[in-house]
Amino acid sequence: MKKLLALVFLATLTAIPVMAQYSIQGKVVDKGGNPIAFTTIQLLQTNKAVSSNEAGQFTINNVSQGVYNLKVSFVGFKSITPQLTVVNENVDLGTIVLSEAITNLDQVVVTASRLEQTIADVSIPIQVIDQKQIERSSNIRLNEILMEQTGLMINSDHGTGIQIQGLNSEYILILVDGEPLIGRTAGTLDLTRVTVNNIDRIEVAKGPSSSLYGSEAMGGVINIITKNPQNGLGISLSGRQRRFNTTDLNATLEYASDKVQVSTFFNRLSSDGYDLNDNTLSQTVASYTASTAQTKLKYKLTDNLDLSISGRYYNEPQEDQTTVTISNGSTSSDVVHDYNAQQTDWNILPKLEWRIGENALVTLRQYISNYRTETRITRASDNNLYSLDEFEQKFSRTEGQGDLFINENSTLTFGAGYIWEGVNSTRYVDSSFTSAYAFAQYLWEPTAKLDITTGLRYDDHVAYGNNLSPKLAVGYRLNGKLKIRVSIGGGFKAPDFRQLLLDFSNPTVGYSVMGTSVVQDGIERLISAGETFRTDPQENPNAINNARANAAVAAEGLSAERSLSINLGADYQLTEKILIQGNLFRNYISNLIDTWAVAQKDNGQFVFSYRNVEDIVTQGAEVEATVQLNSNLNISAGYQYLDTYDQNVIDQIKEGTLAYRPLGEIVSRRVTRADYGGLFGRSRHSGNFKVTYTYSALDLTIYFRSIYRGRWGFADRDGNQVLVGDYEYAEGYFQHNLSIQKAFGKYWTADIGANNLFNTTNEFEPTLAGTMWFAGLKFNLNKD
Amino acid sequence: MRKTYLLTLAVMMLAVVACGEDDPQPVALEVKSESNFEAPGDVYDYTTQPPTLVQENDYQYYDFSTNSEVSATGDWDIAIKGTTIITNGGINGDGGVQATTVAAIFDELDEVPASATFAADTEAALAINKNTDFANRWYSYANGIISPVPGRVVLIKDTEGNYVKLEIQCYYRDCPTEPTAGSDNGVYTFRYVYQPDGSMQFDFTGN
Repeated sequence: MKKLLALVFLATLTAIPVMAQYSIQGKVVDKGGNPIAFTTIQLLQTNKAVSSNEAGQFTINNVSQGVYNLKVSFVGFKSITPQLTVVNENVDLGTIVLSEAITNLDQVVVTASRLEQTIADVSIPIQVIDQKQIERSSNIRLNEILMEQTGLMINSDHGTGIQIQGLNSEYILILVDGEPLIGRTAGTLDLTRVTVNNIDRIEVAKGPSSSLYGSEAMGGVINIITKNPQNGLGISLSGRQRRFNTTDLNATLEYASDKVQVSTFFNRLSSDGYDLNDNTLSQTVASYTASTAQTKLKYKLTDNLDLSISGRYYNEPQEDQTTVTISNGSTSSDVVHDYNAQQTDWNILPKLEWRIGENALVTLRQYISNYRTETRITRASDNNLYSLDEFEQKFSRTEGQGDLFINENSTLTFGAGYIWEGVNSTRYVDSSFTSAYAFAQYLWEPTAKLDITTGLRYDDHVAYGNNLSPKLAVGYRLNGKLKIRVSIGGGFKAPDFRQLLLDFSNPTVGYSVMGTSVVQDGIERLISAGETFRTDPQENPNAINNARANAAVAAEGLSAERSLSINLGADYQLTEKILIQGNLFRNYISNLIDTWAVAQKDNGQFVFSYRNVEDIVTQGAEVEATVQLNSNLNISAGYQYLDTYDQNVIDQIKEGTLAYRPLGEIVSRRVTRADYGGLFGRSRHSGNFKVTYTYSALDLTIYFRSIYRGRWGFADRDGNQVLVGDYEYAEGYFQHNLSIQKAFGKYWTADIGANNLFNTTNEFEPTLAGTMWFAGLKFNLNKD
Repeated sequence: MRKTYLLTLAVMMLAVVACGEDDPQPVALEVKSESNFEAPGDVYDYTTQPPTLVQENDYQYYDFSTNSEVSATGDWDIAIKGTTIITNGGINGDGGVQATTVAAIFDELDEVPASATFAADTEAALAINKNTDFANRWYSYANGIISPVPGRVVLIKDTEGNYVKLEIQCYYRDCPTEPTAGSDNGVYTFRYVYQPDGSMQFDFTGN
């Protein structure tokens, strides 16, 4: 199976002239007899592959005599692989009927193993959001589509991040076409940076994948696979208008032939932003204009050698106003300042794919990425500069990967790479790191019922030493209805630049954050500047020595955070129309890095640094049921139960030494295990309910989603630093999204609807900004 | 300043039992409390570096044996200014007061734990700790709010060798349910039990 998929990977139409040549033709339709365009038809024993046209027809030319398997597949349909024999004449297969798959178990994914596999063959928890779902949802940014998925939650902290299995954004690797997006603020990679236009599918691998991807892939990996051009010329243009004067414009131009594939994509999103808090001058979301450009070029140098180059550019200026408290002797006043921020990131990826014989593939990649931000605060009255904050991160990765298709049942993948990372910033001491790594993975299907994946990766980081990340995943198909998956894996996250090198003092509030490599110098610098680390002359007379001692402890350095995780899941095809998927998970994370106060400054604020603290656990269960009632109506429901805790807190509860103060009371009470709410920012309950209704006669699709997020711990308010008591929670919420799409003829599609239909707002979740209505139009001219 | 005396149920019950007995019986100790004890910190303008002192305030002194505020020249046990609590001993006074902070439920702590280690104020640290190490601090600071850490009991041994258990309950006037950074601060509410017989018990006296 793997061998065959690999062949497809290098699909080519180049004919090798041998003796007499024949053609194979046919027509692909759905159960209702409607032609299906863009189906992939692969002649498995060759490297020939074509797509069906608008009429569902296809022709494969230049086929030699022989016995072949023809694989016909299309997203959302069950693929079929009939056998055929070519003898002395052209073959007309007539009509081929594909039936709709209830779910996307036939969907091809690459994130689980760095190889193309169907979901049914993958034994780690993986979820795919396909192009169909993305388009139906009318969503425009990555956070919007992700929050509609079971077990994925938005976590707003220095940007809109994602949480998987209770692990926050800093433990989740975000890839675009297999290469990492860089540029995080306080660990959060802001998902609003990523447009969902031009995406073929989003793959979400849950649990650690450090055995393949190294650091950061501790809680999961989200891999955004952008579209590849179809044969011929394609043009698509779309625009969508939303509330808050939000305009999203997209243009794609693409061309593909046997030799070359080229595509260019452009997206521009602009918005006035919005304000949920009337008490502040600055808006909750500032006005912005975000532009994304991406281009991909793939060229077949020879039959066995493909060269591709892709590049992506993103730019987002933001504008807002803010107040700055300016002191003048004993009086202080709030002065209006302009806030201008600019984010830019770009990346480029040359890639060479070389097929050696039938059974081996070598891929070489050189990925270079750059992320910059600049934040400028100037006095509104005279443009006098108040503060300027610049940040630049550079990333380069050279990697080689080999895939050896040993036989039908086993594939060996191995690779090695070298990473260089650098940072220049007003908040950081300029620095760079290097790391080298090697990995190997063995996919083995001893029987048709059993698949076993083993993998191991070794990372050697110049600043944090080395790390070994193993993985074992086993899938067992009990029968045609039930598949069970078990995976055990280790993950890690190397301390990042921030934790090592950040050297930042907040200009408006006055606290400082210093990385472990710079905290000693930073404390000395503050002392030279007259800092005494006491808030009044009587107090803590030896505070300077305390500060120095704490800084010395911090300077001993950080270890990588590590996780050990187990996932136990099952797919159960209850009937032809009902599929139930479930997964139990447990992540044990040790050496968690947290901030701690090393000193208290004269201004009453703290100097923070980082340290490895106690161990945490996140565990839970996830279940999703999909029902295809008939060809028009699909209903699905998902739920996640999540339990998290800090081992140190559990120990204190066992000792009986942890107390809390109920709201409005002044007496401390002992915390019991039942009182303890676990880690902050985690919802115990969350779920979703989705209905898709297709009315073919009118070319109309209605897609309705209800998303529930249960209450989550927001802040410690009684001073015990532990989540206990109802008033430390943010209220849970429901959000309902509706999108109605209608096709007009062959080229035009219009949509209308609203995200957050019932105007939900939540002061703790800034992305909930009330009802967000929209209307859009798309023109799509794709080949033929 | 309002003063409240709380009489425990046990006291009343024992008082009933005690009538008609000839031998002196142990007497249950009272929990005493102090509300809105004003001890504001110095006022600084923190927008300058170093911060500018705008108004200097005095320490407010307290004596547990007489349940009263006293003067700086009186027989004081602790003195408070802002978040700083000093003790009469070590570098801060002529007395012999020592203190420590333990994790316990105030009502359940009926004796000084054997593990408690008392210390006087020193150059390195105050006996009633407000260092940056959370494990020992008496308060927690987040988003501009000072919250006494729940379940932290301050144990004090006064100059005469008598023990006090003390719980600081809030730092703002009238203990608002949800204080803000602008709430009237440095206004303490606390409760304590004073054991006058020199024993380490906090339930009865005169054993």
